[in-house]
Amino acid sequence: MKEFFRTKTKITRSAIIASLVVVAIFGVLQAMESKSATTDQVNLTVDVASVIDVTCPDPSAFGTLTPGTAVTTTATCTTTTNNSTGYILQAKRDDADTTLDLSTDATTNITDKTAWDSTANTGDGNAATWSGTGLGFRVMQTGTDSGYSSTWWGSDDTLTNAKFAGLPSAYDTILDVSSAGETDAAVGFRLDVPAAQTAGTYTGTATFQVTANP
Amino acid sequence: MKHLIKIIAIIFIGAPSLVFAMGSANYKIDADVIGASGALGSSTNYKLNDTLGEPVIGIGSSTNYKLQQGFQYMINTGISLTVDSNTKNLGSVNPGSSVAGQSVLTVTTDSWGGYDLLVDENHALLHTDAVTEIPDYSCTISSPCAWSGNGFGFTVLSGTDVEAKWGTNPNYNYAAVPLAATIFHTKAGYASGGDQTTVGYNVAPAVSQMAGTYSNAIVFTVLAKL
Repeated sequence: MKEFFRTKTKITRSAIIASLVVVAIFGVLQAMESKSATTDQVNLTVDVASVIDVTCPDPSAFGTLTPGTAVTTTATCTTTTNNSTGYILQAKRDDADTTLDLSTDATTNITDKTAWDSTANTGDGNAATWSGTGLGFRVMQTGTDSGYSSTWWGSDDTLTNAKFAGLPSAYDTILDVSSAGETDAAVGFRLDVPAAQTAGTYTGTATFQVTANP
Repeated sequence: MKHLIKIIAIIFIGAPSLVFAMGSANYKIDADVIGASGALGSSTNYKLNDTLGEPVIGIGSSTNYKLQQGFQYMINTGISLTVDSNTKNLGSVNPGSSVAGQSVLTVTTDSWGGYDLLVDENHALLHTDAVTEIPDYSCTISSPCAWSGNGFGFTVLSGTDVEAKWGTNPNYNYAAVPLAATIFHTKAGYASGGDQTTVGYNVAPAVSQMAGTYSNAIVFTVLAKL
């Protein structure tokens, strides 16, 4: 019995040693996390459309006008666009002959200043400093966020330097903004009438439009 | 002599158990072999992975089945990935709105463990000015969420064993495409033929998003699981 245990112990020890030898000699070739991989690609494109919107709330009324004493009012147009090159703001009067008509007689008008022409004087425009009577408009430096042209509308908003023009019968550019975003443009109106102007209420409308720059 | 036979018997019974026991929480041996010889040899231009002494190797076949036998077949898995189109133009979208598109990915593999699909992008959708981006969607692959707000995201519209986190029609959940390849879908087990996964894209530019053309490259990667 004792001999049996001795023999068994020898066998077990021999087996372990032999196992280790076999493993060491023959080796175990193993692939650890062997994975095959491949790729493919999608080139994705999307176009974000150019959009533009403008709102121009009605300006407050001029109120009661005394001939020889000018009155003013302002309308602020807010334009929103995502167009990276900005937009142009254009204006026109809606009445064929003059902007303001006597409400009871459309043939009785208040004279407009010389109609704005942005191409006049080789692009310098034809606005002029205020004198005399009539209805004039201009883009104001104050309240205009971007694109104000001192060549077109004067070096500042003081009466001495500010330039006015009449509303044109067809759309013409009054402001050119070169960037995207939300911007305000303040449009000022100035009105004076001669002493002979027929008394009464005069009304009229102007239309503004914006167009994205190319 | 009897002792020698016993020793040999113990070796051949015990040795494989040594092999199969080699694993831990961090590592896994996908395929192993005990042979007379074998190694990974290499020269300047070539690499050779050889084994010697396996009792049964080669390709066996019957009318309906084919069996690749041996260690070398186990460690060499064939896999392919194709997308239905390498260019995907989602068209025009107004700021504040959204536009969708999709790609169909087809994976063909003989991997018995299935595969992982990964995705990454070179950058967010980028304007031609090379500066302005449409931001990536706010949710991540680990936790996709229902679409809300703006950005560029993707989802898994259909496929085999699609994870529940991607939602179902019409309530899909979306995630940003990451800059580093990340697993977004796993298919377990062998599948005969091409296995298709449809990925959906959604682009919702903000109201103030600059107009123009935006683009990026989406890279899909498939990894065989052994």
